[in-house]
Amino acid sequence: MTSKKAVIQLLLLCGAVGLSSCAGKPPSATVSQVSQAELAVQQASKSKAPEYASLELHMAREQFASAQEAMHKKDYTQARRLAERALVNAQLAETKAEAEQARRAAAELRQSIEALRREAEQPVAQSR
Amino acid sequence: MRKITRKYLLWYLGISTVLGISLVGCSHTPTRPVELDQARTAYGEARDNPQVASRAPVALREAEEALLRAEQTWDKEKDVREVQNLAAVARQRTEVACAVAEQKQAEAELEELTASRDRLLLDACAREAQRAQEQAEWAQREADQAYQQVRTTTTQNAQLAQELAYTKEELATKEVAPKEAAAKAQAKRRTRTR
Repeated sequence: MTSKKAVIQLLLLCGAVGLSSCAGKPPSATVSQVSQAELAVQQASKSKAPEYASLELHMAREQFASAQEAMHKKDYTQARRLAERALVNAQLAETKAEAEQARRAAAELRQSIEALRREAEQPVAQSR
Repeated sequence: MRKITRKYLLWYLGISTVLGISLVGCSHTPTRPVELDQARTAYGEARDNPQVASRAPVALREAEEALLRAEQTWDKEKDVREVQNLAAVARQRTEVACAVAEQKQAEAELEELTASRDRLLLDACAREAQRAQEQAEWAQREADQAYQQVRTTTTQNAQLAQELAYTKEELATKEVAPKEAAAKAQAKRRTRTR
């Protein structure tokens, strides 16, 4: 599903690039920024971000979509700005998700340690 | 004369206002976007946070670079929309630095917790082993005691058996002796009567 979407997005991007190469080239910096943003959004989507940082990921996706739209409209300045924002938001989503994951793992471990301690406190009665 | 001066005065006023307005229009600079100051404040807070400074130095430097880029763009170009965007990027980079610091902190905590859990498990194993050994020792002692008891009983039995044998022998000799004596006495009596 997502890969299909990605392929379509890529095709659209290629189409946009191709079209614009016919009529006024988009700056290569903008093109690379948009594709970097796309990669970052994809990577964040594969991480725990959809679960733990859905707001940031959602924003990144929207900004990326707007960047693509701006590319279509040949508003390359706007496309570059939005792509930059999407990239950072995707990275933020991923980092936040990783932090949350580590935090949850720590909480889980803390609980199991508590259980171990409780078990250690009342040992002899059970074993004999 | 008076009319003429008034006319000139009016002209003068009109020209000066037009000039003034046009001058203001030329020197009018766009106001510095609030986002830039907000980004600077956010970055300052993150940099002053020792957790962020020590755990996420790379992300913090990236945030600083983004902020510098926004500031420099403002100084050079005064492009409000561009600077607003760059300031937003700088702010997000600062947030990334904070998130990285939180992640590193949680990971460090996780490491510590893992170590203490391993210690607890090891302790539990050692306790279990000790308990097993104690139980084994206890069982050994019980067995030793039982063996000792058996041994003493057997020796006692042997002694008793020996004693019994002696007594029997004794009894036998005691029984035999009076019979013999009686037999002798009878024999004597017979010889006397003859």
